[in-house]
Amino acid sequence: MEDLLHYAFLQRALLMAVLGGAVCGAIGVFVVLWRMSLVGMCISHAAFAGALLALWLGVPPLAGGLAASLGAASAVGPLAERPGFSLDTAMGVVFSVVMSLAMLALGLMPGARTEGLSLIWGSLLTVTRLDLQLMSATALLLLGFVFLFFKEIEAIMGQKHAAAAAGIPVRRIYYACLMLMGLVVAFALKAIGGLLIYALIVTPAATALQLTYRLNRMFWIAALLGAIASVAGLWLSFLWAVPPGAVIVLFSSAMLIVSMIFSPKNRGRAIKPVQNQQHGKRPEEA
Amino acid sequence: MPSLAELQNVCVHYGKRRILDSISLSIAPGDFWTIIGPNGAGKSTLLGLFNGLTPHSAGSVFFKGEPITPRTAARIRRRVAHVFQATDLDPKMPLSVFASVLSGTYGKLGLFHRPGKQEKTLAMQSLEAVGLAHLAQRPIGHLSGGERQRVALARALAQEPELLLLDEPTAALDWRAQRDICNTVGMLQKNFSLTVIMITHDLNAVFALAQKVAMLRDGRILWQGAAQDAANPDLLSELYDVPIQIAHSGDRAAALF
Repeated sequence: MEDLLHYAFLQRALLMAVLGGAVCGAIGVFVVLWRMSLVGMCISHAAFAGALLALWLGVPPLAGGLAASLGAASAVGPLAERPGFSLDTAMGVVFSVVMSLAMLALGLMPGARTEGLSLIWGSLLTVTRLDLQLMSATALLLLGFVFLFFKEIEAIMGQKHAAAAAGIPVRRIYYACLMLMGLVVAFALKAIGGLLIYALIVTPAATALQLTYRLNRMFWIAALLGAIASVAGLWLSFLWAVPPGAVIVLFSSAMLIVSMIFSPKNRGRAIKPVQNQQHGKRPEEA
Repeated sequence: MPSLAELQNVCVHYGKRRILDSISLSIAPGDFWTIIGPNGAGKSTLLGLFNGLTPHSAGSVFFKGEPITPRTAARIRRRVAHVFQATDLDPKMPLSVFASVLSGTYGKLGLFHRPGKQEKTLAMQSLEAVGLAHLAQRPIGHLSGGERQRVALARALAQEPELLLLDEPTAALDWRAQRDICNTVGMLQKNFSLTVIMITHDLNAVFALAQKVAMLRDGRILWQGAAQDAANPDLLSELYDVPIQIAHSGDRAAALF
């Protein structure tokens, strides 16, 4: 761990682990609570396919991943809203197609395909300053989005139709969230890897759901768990000389399993009562 | 008396499929309408016309004299509350009953504004009106189906609506919960002088609560009029395509089938 403080590339890897893990964890709250699993999976794997195709074509993989993730996010939103449209089937087909494109691009790549393989497994150790800057900007964007629209995000949870009927601009907020997810996936792809990035988005948020009945805390807990899993995974991968993406996700999954076994919600109690100085009190007590 | 909401020869199509045909309805302030009909008749689609959730392909829809169009729908929706059928919720969902009801004020509050004391007081009063103030801090996923529907009614009340739309509010609830919801709706309509349009399959609720009834079949209005006149076995049998008899106990009518 002392080496992490000496070498610039390891310092960047550590920073990306913290930032990227936190951002993936936080965006995962939307995926878990708004039931966007299939949508999130398609965006993640579209980014992966886009990056590999770009690499094969000699274009920067970041550009390809970004174009594909934002393109998928733009397409999936309207598809999800079509009445009578089977999203399950459509997402299953899209997922198969993008994975096939990704493997095709990998197969067609000349030479040792090192860079292509690192997009599959992740490569925290090759993170650049630009990668960090882009991830920092995305983190600020996500923080701003959650801060500004927190009440709408909370209203949409589990009662999307009621929120739309009450005049809340559900569609705009949903699409903005999809675009944010596209950005997060594209900028975290290189570090975490295409096959595993979706797991890092979902598992910290799923773990946070076991631990709190307050949405604001769920965002912070998911971000913290994502960062912890990423740093722990980086350190263990350094120790054991194994791909960091896989270790990160396994560590995160272990945290989820432990939280599910020991969750206070299993006993029908919250960690703390849902209480706010204004919430839940009669007007004369507020 | 000028109507609060009006449908004039409204048609709704999804692609080439006609869902509603030449629907005309006039809702006066203070009315309690129920819309009844078999599954697939277009009842939910019709209800969505009143707050612009359902786009119409022909005819006109008005709210207080203002046409409901894609441009005006979002603004009008803030004055029209809509309660949907009860759905299952994850018991681990991080949303309290109070927060759920408070969200009814967000449409009028608008983006970039935080709820203040006025909105929180309104939310609490709405919870008291439906008898659930003691559950304000409870996670909403822990409530029974009937309690969640009462929370939905409280959320609608918090919106301070001029029109209340109820889409099968008692569906998937047990008998006791159905009675609770019907009683709560009736009480709210009286106490808050609400104008209500309710879709229901519960004919007994129609006879007990409604003043006016519209019967919808295959996207067309078969009949509309006073609730006491709707208790007609021939009409109801034609509507549902099953023999229905009406029994009377004192001044109460009940459907038998």
